[in-house]
Amino acid sequence: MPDSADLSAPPATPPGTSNDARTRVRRVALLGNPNVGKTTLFNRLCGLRAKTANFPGSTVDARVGTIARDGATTEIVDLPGIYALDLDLPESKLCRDCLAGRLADYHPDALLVVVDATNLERNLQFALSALRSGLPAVVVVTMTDVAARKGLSIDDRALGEHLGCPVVIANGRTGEGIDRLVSTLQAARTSAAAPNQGESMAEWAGRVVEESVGGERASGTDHDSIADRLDSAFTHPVLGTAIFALVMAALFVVIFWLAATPMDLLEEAFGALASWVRELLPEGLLADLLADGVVNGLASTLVFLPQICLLFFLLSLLEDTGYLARAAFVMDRIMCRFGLPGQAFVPLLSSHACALPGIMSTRLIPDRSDRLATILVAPFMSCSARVPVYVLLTSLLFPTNALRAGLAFAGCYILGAIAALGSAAIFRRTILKGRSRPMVLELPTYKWPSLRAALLVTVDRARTFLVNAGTIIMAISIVMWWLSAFPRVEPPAPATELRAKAETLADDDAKAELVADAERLESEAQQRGSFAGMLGNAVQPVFAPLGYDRQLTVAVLTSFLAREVFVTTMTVLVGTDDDIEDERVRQRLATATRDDGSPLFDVRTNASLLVFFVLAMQCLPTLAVTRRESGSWKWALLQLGWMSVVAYVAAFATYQGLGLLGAGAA
Amino acid sequence: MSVIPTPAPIRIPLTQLRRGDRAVVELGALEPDESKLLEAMGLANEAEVRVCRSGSMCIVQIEATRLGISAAMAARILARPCECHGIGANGKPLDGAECPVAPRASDVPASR
Repeated sequence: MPDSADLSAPPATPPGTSNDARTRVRRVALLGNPNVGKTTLFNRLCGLRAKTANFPGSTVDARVGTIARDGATTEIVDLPGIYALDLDLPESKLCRDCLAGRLADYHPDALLVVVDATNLERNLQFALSALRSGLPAVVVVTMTDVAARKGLSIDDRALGEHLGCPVVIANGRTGEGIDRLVSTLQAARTSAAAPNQGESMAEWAGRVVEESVGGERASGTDHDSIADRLDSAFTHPVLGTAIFALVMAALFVVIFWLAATPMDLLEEAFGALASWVRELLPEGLLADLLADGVVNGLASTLVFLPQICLLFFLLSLLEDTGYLARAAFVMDRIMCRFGLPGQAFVPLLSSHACALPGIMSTRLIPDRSDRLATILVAPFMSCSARVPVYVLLTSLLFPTNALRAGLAFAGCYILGAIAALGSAAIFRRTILKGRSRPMVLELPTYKWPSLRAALLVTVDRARTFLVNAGTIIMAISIVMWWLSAFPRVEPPAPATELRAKAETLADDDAKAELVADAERLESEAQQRGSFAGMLGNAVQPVFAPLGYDRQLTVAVLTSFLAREVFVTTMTVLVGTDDDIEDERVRQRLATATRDDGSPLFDVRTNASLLVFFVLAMQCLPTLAVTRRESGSWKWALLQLGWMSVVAYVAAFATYQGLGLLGAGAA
Repeated sequence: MSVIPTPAPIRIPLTQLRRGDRAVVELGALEPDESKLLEAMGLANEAEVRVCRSGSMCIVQIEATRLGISAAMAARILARPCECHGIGANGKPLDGAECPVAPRASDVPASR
């Protein structure tokens, strides 16, 4: 339970008043209720000079920014929005720890408490509990423009007298009052004289509002006909669900549509970079490492950056309007049956584009168990990287029936969603057991979104993603490259012969064709002789019950880096590096054989592979992002293990079940 | 002198109120951490609320705060309707007629 004693007694020496505190950077903790404009204010104060990390021992975002003015630097720590300091919730505990100086590197010298002018009575009670920490404090009143529209006016001087600390009216959106806020904050050196009232906190807050708020509707209003009508529509069981479906469809159409061009450009840029590296460096290991390991490894992840930026930009706009809280509320009825909160819907839906932004957007979910359950199951949702695999396998499964192929394609998406929700239900009843946080949401006031705030959120998320991609993902890519590049295998005799023959030809096209054939043979030999290939051969018996031979096992193993690699590996193994959309390539794959001469892609194997790729993890960047977002490799490995087991069992059941039903070769 | 007992105030789950109804809520049936959270969010015990949406999902307004409460939680919040809107103090329909504000338990005089 919370230790409120820590907050009621001021520290023996208020940190802000010590001599050393005057010379070093001052640290100010920014706190307030959710939806009071705290983050907008933080962004206005610090702009892009903010960094995101995790608070020690938690996965809660710690955003830290700086304000440099008149030779003085102030560091602002943006604490999570909470309703009370003494709640038994992780965010409340974190704020208590921070105010009591128990968080290393986040010990504040002063407080900046944000209160919402449109909901002053409740916010003042929170402010009072924060002021009792005994730290120097400034209270900033936001949303005064919205309050003015409601007929309310705030007397900041009277409010300051009641609170015993400076009170400043400021607007994070327009910048109004920010200069005064910064100078007041820098001058705040003495502990707030928090009133020691003989009345209850609620009575005190009611009296303060009465004496500090003017206007004809000063006592507050509980009627807003426009909000009522919008809420009726947005939270209606049928209409609300339909509106949500439309909004989400529009969101993803826009993301796919707008992201397509930059993604193509990024792919081309990385391709050109890899070629440039190869031209610049002499042929050999270093060139292979940089071009194949580093550049291609980064390209496979960074190509999703446009999708991630667009998703977070649009989600931030939606959240700012107040709509997203209503949408979460509507979806809660469906999601709670699987042990997930309504807020899980957006991350799961986002995972259809790519699991990386999907997992990153689970930060919208306040409860840790709910959040972990959502992270663990998000990669079951069929992402865009699975599409090439689905296209290949469904077209091989139903080569002459487009309708069945289409239905199988849609079935993959349904199977993934069922697996995700079913797994969530299992996790919430076993390892993530426990009561979910009760679904009670504050429905914020509807307002126009702030483009500036959305852009800053996007930059912050993109930066986090890039740091992750540049460290963990790159390191693992290099390891995977090493496994497939070593030990070096001598070029096979036919490849050497082809190269020799190519040297004798005058026709450039014919020469290039022979060289390409030689490269394919060399690549195949390298793949077979490398550690990855040896691993493939060694574990082939494990995959035999699923119907996979040596070639398919190698393709499944190499696609662990990214599922779409399966298509590339298969085209290389069967002797082509052309586009999979090409009909000749499909024909070649359809007629490809195993070492014993039987068809490689018979109906049972095809169906088994399709089920395997719907359910298997097969995405290294996702694993790395899960580790980062969950704060531990334990959850990432559990995710990998669970998805692999589910995929294996389901693929086994498919292959053996079809065998029992008498399905034979294609 | 005998006192005619006043009917006990009607208490119904929040989910049974209709849109536009006003009621005083009682959080006694909630877990302590749930009622503490609601109180911090502005919905204290004995607070008067206006129902913006009722049924399986509940949206209530308390002064300037609008809260969405899941059906599972709303079903455990008891409400004393401030205006009848068709529900009498004895819990029976009133054919749309208005009735006095339902008294609190503490207001009911003890019969001798």
